[in-house]
Amino acid sequence: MNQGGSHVCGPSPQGGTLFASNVTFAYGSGPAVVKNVSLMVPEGAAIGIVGESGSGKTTLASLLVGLLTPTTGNVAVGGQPWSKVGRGSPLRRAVQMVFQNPYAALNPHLSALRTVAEVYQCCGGFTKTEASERAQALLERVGISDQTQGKRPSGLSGGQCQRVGIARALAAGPAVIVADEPTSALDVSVQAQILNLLSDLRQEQGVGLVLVSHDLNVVSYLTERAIVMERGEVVEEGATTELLQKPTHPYTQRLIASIL
Amino acid sequence: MSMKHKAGVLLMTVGALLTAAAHGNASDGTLRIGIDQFPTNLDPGQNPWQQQQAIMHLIAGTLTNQEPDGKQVTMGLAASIEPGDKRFVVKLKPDLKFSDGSALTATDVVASFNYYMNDKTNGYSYTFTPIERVIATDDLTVEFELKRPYPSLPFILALPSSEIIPSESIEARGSKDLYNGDHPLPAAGPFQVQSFGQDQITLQRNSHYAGTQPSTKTVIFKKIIDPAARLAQVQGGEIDWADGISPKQVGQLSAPVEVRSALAINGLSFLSLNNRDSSLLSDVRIRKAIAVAINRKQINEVVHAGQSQPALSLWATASRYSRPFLSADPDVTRAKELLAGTKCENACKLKLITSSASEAGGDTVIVVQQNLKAIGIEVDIVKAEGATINEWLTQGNFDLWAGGSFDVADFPDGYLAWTVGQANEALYSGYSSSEMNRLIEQVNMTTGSERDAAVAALNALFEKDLPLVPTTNIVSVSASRVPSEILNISPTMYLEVR
Amino acid sequence: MLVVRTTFARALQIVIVGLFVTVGTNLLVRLVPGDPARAILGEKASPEVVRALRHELGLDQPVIQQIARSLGRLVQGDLGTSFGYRGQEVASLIGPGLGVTAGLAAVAIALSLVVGVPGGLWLALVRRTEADLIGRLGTTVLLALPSFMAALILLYFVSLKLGLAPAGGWAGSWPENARYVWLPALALTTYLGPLIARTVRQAALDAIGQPFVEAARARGVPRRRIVACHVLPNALLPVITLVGFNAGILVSGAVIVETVFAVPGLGSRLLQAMSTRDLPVMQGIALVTAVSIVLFNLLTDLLNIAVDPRIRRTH
Ligand SMILES: Nc1ncnc2c1ncn2[C@@H]1O[C@H](COP(=O)(O)OP(=O)(O)OP(=O)(O)O)[C@@H](O)[C@H]1O
Ligand SMILES: [Mg+2]
Repeated sequence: MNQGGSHVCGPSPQGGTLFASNVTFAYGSGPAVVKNVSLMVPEGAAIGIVGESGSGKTTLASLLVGLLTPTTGNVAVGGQPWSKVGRGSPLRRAVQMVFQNPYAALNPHLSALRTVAEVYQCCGGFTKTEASERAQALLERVGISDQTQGKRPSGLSGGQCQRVGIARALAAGPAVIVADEPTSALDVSVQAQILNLLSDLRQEQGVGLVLVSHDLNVVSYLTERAIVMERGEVVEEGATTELLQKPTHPYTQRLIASIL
Repeated sequence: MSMKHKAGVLLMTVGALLTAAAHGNASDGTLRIGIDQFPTNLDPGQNPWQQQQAIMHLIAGTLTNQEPDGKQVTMGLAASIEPGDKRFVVKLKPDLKFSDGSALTATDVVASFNYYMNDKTNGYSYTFTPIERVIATDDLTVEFELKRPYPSLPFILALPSSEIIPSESIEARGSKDLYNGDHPLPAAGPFQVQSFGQDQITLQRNSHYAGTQPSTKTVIFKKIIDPAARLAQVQGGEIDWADGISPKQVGQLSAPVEVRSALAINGLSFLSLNNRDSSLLSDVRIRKAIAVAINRKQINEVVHAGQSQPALSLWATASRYSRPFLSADPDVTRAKELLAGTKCENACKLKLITSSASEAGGDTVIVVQQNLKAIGIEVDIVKAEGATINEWLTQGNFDLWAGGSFDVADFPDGYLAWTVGQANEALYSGYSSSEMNRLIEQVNMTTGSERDAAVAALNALFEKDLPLVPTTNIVSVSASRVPSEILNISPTMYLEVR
Repeated sequence: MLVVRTTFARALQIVIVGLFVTVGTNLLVRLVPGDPARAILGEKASPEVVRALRHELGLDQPVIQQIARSLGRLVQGDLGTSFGYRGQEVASLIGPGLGVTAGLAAVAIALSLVVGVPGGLWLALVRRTEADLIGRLGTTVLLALPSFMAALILLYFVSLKLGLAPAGGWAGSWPENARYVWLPALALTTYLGPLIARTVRQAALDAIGQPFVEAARARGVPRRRIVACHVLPNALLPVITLVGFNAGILVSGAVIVETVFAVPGLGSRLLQAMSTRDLPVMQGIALVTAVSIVLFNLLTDLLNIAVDPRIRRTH
C-alpha cells in the first residue's frame, strides 16, 4: 500500500474535522432520541461513543455521516454543514460508515471486488480496469484474498463481509470513518481481528475514527476519548482509560459493571 | 411539445396503425359470421344443433331445396319428383357435378342413402326408417321404395342429413374418416369447405353448383361463444353477422348494424310437463290450470323483448296446422276453478328445471314462477347445465321444464314425435296415449283433406290431454351489418346466403 | 445439486398431477350427468342410435377399465382421440390452443412487468406522499376487479368507443396477432400489473432501508444510480416468484378473457369440450394446463436459483 494518508477521491478541503454542535434529533413527530449532543473529531483522531441499547448511538452515527438531518443544531464536515454539501461534492465522501450488520451492509448482487471497484469508478473517476486494480489491492490489504474477491456476500463469512465493508468505506477516501458496532454481529475470535484491522488502518492511513459500541472495553482499545450516552444525552465524556478506571457517572459505572 | 402531449400523439398514432388494417370485407364478396357452436366434423348426421345445421345447409347438395319460408321445397339436384303412395321416382338434372368437377349420378344418390340408412350412429336415422330401399334405374333416375306412405319425403330430401356425397369416397374412405374436416368431401351444395378449424370454418363458392350461384364468394364462420363478444365484434366491424344475440340487446345496436329476426315456421317454446305418475302434473286438471294461468304476453315482453309472439296452439303461429285455442292473457279465476278438487287446490309445490346456459329459459322461469304464484302454486326453480337437464328429463326428475322444440320446415313428422309422440314420451314428458300415436301416424301418412281431418282430430286431443303448455313462438335474433338480400335468417332457422 | 433436486421434485409433481387429473376428470365427468353421445347426436336422436354411439366411443365399458385405458395411453404420451372431432388426436386439437393461450399469457406477463416494475419503483420513491396513496388505492381497486369485468370494460371503451383495437378475434399467425392480443393481454394485466407493482414497491422500500443503500448515499452516489444498481435488482427478485405462483390464476383468467375476446385459446377449447362432454379433450386440457403450470413453476425455481444471490450454492 502506498496510498498513505492521501485521499483517493481528492483531498477534503480544510482537513477532516467533523464537528457536531448541540445536535437534537427526533424521528418524525416522536420524542427526541438524540438530545443536545456536541462532539468534535479532530483530524486523525479516534473517538468512542458508548451507551446501552436504544440510547441513540446509531442515530447519532447517522447524523454524523449526514444520512439524517438534525432537528436542531448542526453537523459540519470540514467547516461545511451537511445541508450545504451536495451529492457530488468531494466533502460528501469525507465521512464514511461501517455498519453493524455486515451482510445487510453489502448489496447481495455485487461481488466483493465489484462492491469496492464501484466506489473507485463512481466517485474516484477511475476507469473500469484501474478501479478494479485498486480494489484488488485494497481488498488484499484488508485481508480478502484473490480467490475470495469474486464472491458475493452470500459466499462470504461475517468477518469477510465486514472487511469488504471497511474496504468500501476506505475506497471513498474518507477523513473519518464512523463504525457502528462493527464487531457486535461477529464471533469473538473474529472481533479482535476486525478491531486490529481498524486500528492498523487508522495508523497507516491517518483516517479519523468514530467507534460506536456498547462495550467500553472495545472503545478503550481503539480510541483516546469517548462520550457516554444515556437516553440521547451525553452523561459523561473524557479520556477512555479514565472513563474505564474511574467512572464518575452512575450510568457509566453500571455500564462497566454489566460488561465485566 | 410537452411530454404529455408527445405521449398522446404517440398513442393515437399507434392506435391508428393498429386499426388501419382492421377493415376489409362484405363488399369483396366475403361474409364473416360469428356463431357460438361449430360442427366438430362434416357428418350432417352428428351435428344436429341449429347452428351446426345452418353451416351444413350451405354445403349440402340435396335432391330438393328448402324454400326459406319453410312451407315448400323446390327442385335441387333433382329435376323432378314424382310422388307416389309407396314409391317416389326422382329424376336428376343432367350433367351434375361435385365441387371437384367429378360427375354426380344416380349411383352417388343410392350410395349416399345406403350409407345413411346403415349408419347406426346417425342422429337423423328416424328420417330414414320409412324408406325400404333406394335404387337407381338409370344414370339419372332414382327410386325410393317406402315401407309406408311418407308424404314428407320431399322435405326430408332437403335436409343436410340427406346430402349427396360421392360414392367413390364412401368406398375409399372408412366411416371413421369419411367426414374428417381436415380433408372435406367434394360437395354439391352452393358452397364447399375450404378450411375446417375449431375456431374458423371457411366456405368457398362452389362453381359447379347446379342452382343459382350466390354472389357471395367466401363465407367465414368464426366461433365466438360469448353473445356479448359476438355483439361487440359485429358492432366493431370484425364480423358481418352476430348470430343469436339476446333480444334485450337489440336496443344497443347502432348503425350500420341492424337487427334481423325470424320466427320458426315449425316449433315452439313450451313448458314441458311431467305426465308420469311420479308428478302432481299427471293430473290433467292441474296441467290445464297452468296453461290458463300463464301470461304469454308477459313472457314475450320480458323474455323476447316483444320480438316473438304468444303461442296459442300446439303449432307455430305461422304453421299451416295451427289452430289457436289458448289465450295470450292469463285467466286466474278459470285456473282456480280448474284446480278445485285437485292436490293443488290449496297449495302445492312444483320443480321447474331450466338450462343455466339459456338466457331465455332463465327469464321464462321467473315469469312462470310469478304467474303460478297467483294460483297458489309454489315453483322451485332449479338450473342445471344442458346435459344434466337431458338426464333429468329422461329420468322424470322434474315437474316442469322450460324448453322447446323445432324443425326446419312445416312438416309434422319429427315435431309431433318430440312434442306429443313416442320420442317425447321417452325423452321428455312421459305422456303416453295410444290414441295420440294413432293420430300422429295418420297425419304423417296422409295428404290433402285426409291429413287436414287427422290434424283437426289431433289438435282436439292435444287440447283435451294438454301434455305440454305452449308459451311463445321460437324466435332467433341476430345482428347484421350487411343487407338482408345478401345474408338473412329465415323461418327455417337456416342462414340464407345469396 | 440444488438444480437437480428442484427439477426432480417438480418432475415427481408432474407424475402425481397427471395421475390425479386423469382419474379425477374420468370420475367427475361420470358423476355429473350428461351423456357425450347424446351431446353429439342431439336430443332428437333415438335411444338405439345413442346406445350405438356410446358403444363406439367405449363409454359402455366399466369406469375402472376406462381409467386404466387412459392411464395406459398417457404413459405412452398419448392423450387419446376426441369424441366430437371423430378420429382426431387430442394433442393435435389442443396444441394450437395451448400456443395461443401461452402467447396471450406471455404478452400479459410482459405488459405487467413493463407497467408494474417502473410503477412499483416509482411508488416506492414517492413513498408516503399523496401520489403513493392514490397509486396504492388504484392497485387495490384493480386487484378487486374481476378479469371478465376488466375485459368487458376494455372491450367497450378501447375497442367500441375509441376504435383502437379489434373487438376480438385472432389473426392466427405472428406478428399479425399483435393487433388482437394486446387488449385481452391488457385485461389480464389489470390483475398481474398491480400485483407486481405492489410487490416491487414493498421490495424496493425494503431495499431502500438497507445499509448498503445508506452507504451508497453516504458516498454521494447519484440517486438514479442508487435506484438502478442497488434498489432495482433487489426489488426484482420477488417478482420472479410472484409471477411463478400466479401462473395458475393467470391461466384461469385467460380462459375467461379469451371468451370475451373470442381468442381461440385453451379456454375456448375447454368450453366447447365441456358443453359436448368431450371427455378426452377435457382431460387433455386439464392435464396440459396442470403440467404447464408445474413446468412454469420449475422455470421460476431455476431462474430464482440462477439470479438470487442469497441462495447459497454448493460448489
Ligand atoms: N427509523 C426509526 N424510526 C423511529 N424511531 C427510531 C428509528 N430508529 C431508531 N429509533 C428509536 O430511536 C431510539 C434510539 O435508537 P438507536 O438505534 O439510535 O439506538 P442504539 O443506541 O443504536 O441502540 P442499539 O445498541 O440497540 O443499536 C430508540 O428508542 C429507537 O426505538
Ligand atoms: Mg445501534
